[in-house]
Amino acid sequence: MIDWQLLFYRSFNYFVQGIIVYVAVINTIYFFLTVMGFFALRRYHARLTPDQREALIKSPLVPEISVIAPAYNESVTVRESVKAMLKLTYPRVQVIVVNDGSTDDTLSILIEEFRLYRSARAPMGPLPHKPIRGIYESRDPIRLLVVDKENGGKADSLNAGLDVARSPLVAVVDSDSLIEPDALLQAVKPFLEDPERTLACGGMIRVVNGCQVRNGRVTHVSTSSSVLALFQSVEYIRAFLGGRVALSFLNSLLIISGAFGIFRRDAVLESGGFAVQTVGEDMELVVRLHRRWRERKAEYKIRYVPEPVCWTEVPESLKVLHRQRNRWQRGTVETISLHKRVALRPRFGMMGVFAVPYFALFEMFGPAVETAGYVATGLGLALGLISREVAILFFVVSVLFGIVLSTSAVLLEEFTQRRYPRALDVIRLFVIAILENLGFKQLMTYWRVQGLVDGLKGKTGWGKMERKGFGGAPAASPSPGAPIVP
Amino acid sequence: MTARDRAGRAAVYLQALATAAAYAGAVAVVDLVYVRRHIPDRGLAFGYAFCLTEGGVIGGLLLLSLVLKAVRHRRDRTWERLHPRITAEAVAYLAGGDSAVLRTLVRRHPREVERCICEMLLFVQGTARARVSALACELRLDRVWKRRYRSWRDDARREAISRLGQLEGGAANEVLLLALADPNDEVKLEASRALLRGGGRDEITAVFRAALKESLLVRAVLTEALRPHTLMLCGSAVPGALACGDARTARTALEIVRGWGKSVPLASLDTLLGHSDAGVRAAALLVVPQMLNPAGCAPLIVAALGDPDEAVRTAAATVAGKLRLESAFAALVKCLRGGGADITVAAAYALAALGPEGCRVLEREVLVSRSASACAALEALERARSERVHLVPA
Repeated sequence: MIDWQLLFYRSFNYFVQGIIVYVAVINTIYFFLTVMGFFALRRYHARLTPDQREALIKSPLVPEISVIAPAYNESVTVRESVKAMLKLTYPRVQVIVVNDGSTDDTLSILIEEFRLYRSARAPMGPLPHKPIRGIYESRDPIRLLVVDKENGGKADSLNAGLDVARSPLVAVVDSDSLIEPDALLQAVKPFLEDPERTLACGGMIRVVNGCQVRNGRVTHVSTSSSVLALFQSVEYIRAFLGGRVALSFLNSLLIISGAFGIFRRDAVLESGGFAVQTVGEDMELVVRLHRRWRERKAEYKIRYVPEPVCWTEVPESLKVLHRQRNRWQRGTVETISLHKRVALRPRFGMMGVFAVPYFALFEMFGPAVETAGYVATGLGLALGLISREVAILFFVVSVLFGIVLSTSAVLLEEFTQRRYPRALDVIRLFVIAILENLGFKQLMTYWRVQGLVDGLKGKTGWGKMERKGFGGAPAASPSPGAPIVP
Repeated sequence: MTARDRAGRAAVYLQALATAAAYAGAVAVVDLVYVRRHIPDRGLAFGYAFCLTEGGVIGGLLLLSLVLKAVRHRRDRTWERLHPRITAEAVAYLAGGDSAVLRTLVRRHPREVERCICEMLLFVQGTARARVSALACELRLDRVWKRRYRSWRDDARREAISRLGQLEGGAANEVLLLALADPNDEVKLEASRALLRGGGRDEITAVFRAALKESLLVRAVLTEALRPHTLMLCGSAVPGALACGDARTARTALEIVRGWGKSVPLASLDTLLGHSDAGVRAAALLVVPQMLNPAGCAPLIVAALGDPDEAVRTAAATVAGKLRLESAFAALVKCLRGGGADITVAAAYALAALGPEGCRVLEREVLVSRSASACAALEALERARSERVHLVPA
């Protein structure tokens, strides 16, 4: 006769132990990627020297770049961010701001601030997008184009920008972000080193909250006084210095942040531009580029350079952060679902064998498994179904391993980048890296589970983003522009 | 991927694996040697071992970071203390003194003496510079740098070449020429700059030849560095590269010439304008405006407007507009109405540059057509009338 109670007890224990193994594997892979990232960074990453920088600024051989910045109701930040884009140190750059049918005064601010007139220029590219109402240029000798179009979302705006652009390279940025003056020069390096094979290059995104901003430039780097922003600072450092360097080294980088990335225009046009049906259009495009080039068995590179820095404002309210994380998770779900056929197929190289399965197993379903682990461990411990030792083991692999990863990332930042000049800031980040794993991470995991459910249900939409402005007075502005996916 | 690239990638994999293995090994050792003796349960013992190892690693890294900061601080203080003394001794040497004290100092504080001499090499000129250079050799710093150039570390080699490049009288030219073939771009650039600074015709030609084989990044930087030597290079090195028969070399040489952006005394580009490689034809067309008699190439430019390759046609249209070639009028009108976006825009701008007659064609195009050519025509007309043609790329 079957002892059902014993069977349930054993099954429950196996379930919890399975989750422990799963969480241990995900964290071990991430730890390995961080270590690999550190060594790859040391070996391959070299900043441009001042001499090289000077020579490149003068050189007509450097390819022209169009910086495409979609804007939707960005009246609070658009003035400063466009000014910052116009001050980029690059020999041949054109800024294309795409006003995505804003309902506030974004367009009128741009017209007034930059003395715009309606130009005869028309889009010449092949990508479909919502109708363009007008293209504006400045009366002053500045290389600025403003495309005014009907609302169609971020991907649609980027496609319109791609159609208007004529340069061989396009930089995709968020109009609510600040780009460092040298960012384009640093990010274009992979294209100069290997112009035929390099398809795209992403850069590092940092948190601007707490920093001093003057005339569209970050003049003093400091950590924010908001704990929520601090948690996100650590998350961004971990994501950009930990995983992406290693994934780029393995040529399996699946995400180039929508806040800052450079693409070869012909490659993007050939791939059909940004997908309008997904909220994770940046990730989807990168996966599609991988897929296309792998299918045709052509050599290619999709790179990540940790140096070009784009500063972005992160949410300081739980409500907005919730919406953002939900959207990012939905983006991952949509992209992985769209390209699930790539998984575990050796013809797609490291991307098919490692990156896509890793994202599907751990990034997409990971939060659900981890949440199940928290619930099962708590319940099991309360009902006496699992031993204290098993519960402690789960705590070790989920929380303590998380602390290792976060603190390693902060140390990696201190050993390689050193962007925070004050020791106090480094200590704060270090403490936050520990605290992040004791509540904040679990909350993010739960929200990601909600995002997973919404993504599987096919929920769409961006939600609202409240902006304070760069060092200005607080204001609110709804926005569809996702700052980034770390 | 070259063998060196493969070795580099393998090294990163091995380093990462070794670190992960060391970490796992450390946890296992702590577990077996210490924790399991006190805690009988295996799972719990492993958990505690993990915690202890983790604490040790984080603490160790923090400590390392602090130690490195302290070492840097100590070095800075030593430098601040010794800098005036070394400088004074070096200045005394320049004034005719001997180097006995400096020789003693270099034995005890090699890093500081080296740094001071390198700073002086950067700031002094003329005979004083030659004397500092001689002092560096007398202190055997040149040997140190040459030995350092053999390092496997890229940054060590770069620093060595940068310092050797400061020496006067071609003392290190042999190593610098060798460094032109270094696998690291930074090292190559340092060597090239040093050779261009102090080398003669042979060294400059060697740098130009090296530039032909390099990536666009190195080429763009070297193009700027080679610009002052345009005339000399156009004597034999550039014609030699253009006539070598290799399409890639010819294309690269043409790109460098275009990068110089000034008139070049090249005899003729006729052969290259009819080259079998479309890339060479397009690159040659873009160099035509820099030639002493560009109008002499007019028939070939007009012919290129009917080239089967669109990039060549676009380059030809751009050049026809720049040179205001009236003989290209009919071919430009044809280009305006046929082909992709790039050639259409280039042809429209070229027609706008041809003056009233070209503008009339563009007006007619705007009135009768609804295609891309009409859009390009309207845009070019607007530019021509507001004299803003220069703001938009062709």
